[in-house]
Amino acid sequence: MGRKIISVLIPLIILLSILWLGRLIYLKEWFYKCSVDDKVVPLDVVNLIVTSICTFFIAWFISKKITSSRYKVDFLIEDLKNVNIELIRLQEKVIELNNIELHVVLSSLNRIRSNYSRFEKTLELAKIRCSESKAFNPHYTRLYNITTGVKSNKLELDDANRIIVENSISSLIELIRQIIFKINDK
Amino acid sequence: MEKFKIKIAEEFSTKPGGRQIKYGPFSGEAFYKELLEKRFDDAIKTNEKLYIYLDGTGSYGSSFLDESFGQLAREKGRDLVINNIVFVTETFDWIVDYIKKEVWGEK
Repeated sequence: MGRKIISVLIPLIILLSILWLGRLIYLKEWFYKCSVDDKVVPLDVVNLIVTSICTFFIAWFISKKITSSRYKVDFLIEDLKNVNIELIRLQEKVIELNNIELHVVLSSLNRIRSNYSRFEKTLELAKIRCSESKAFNPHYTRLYNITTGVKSNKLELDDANRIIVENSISSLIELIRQIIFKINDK
Repeated sequence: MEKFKIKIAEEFSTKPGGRQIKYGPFSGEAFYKELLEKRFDDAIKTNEKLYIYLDGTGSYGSSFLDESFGQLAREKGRDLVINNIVFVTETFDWIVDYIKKEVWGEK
């Protein structure tokens, strides 16, 4: 909501400022005495060329910086989205089934860990700081303990432990989304 | 030269199971009784380290790790185990961290 108000207010303020400035200049006496000199001065031509080159260079430099920074952010978000998808798949299994084979749980947890490790390495390469990313390990360890701390080769789910597993997955999903939002703002 | 080693995927299973033998195959208890305890004792007797190769399996559940490596530390002494077991892995670095921090309580 705040962003919408700002995006309307800023152009409005700029427009009003231009109108006010135009009106102010128009009222000045010297404005009517202004005339355009049609003689070509070499210094002015050189000045124009140099200014144009500088402008193009700065524009190219800024757009390159923005594009490269966006690439990094897109790669990071891609890995986090994969973590999110895998967590949702696991959550669906937990909701639908009464027991899940341990190797299925482990393979799902492996994919989550592997995507997150890639995210962490890319984060380091991109030299982007994200303090929230450190919260992943305790959340992941809790989920790992709950889902693989089993006597047999299956994760048995009843009403009592299903909610615990679901909550643990949900809190990890929330954290991943929080990190996505933070990275997207970089 | 690694005189004492266990390659879990080759010598035990590519799909390690849960905690106890009575609840299913390839449990942590089975791994401890069939391989880990004996191989660790042999290594200690000759002042050698025991190398554990983790790669080649799907992964390891927390109950498997606790019932095998946790049990080893409880039976033989935490410090002796920490100083004489070497994990070898390219894919399960986080499992090694988990065993050291969560199972053995290393800081």
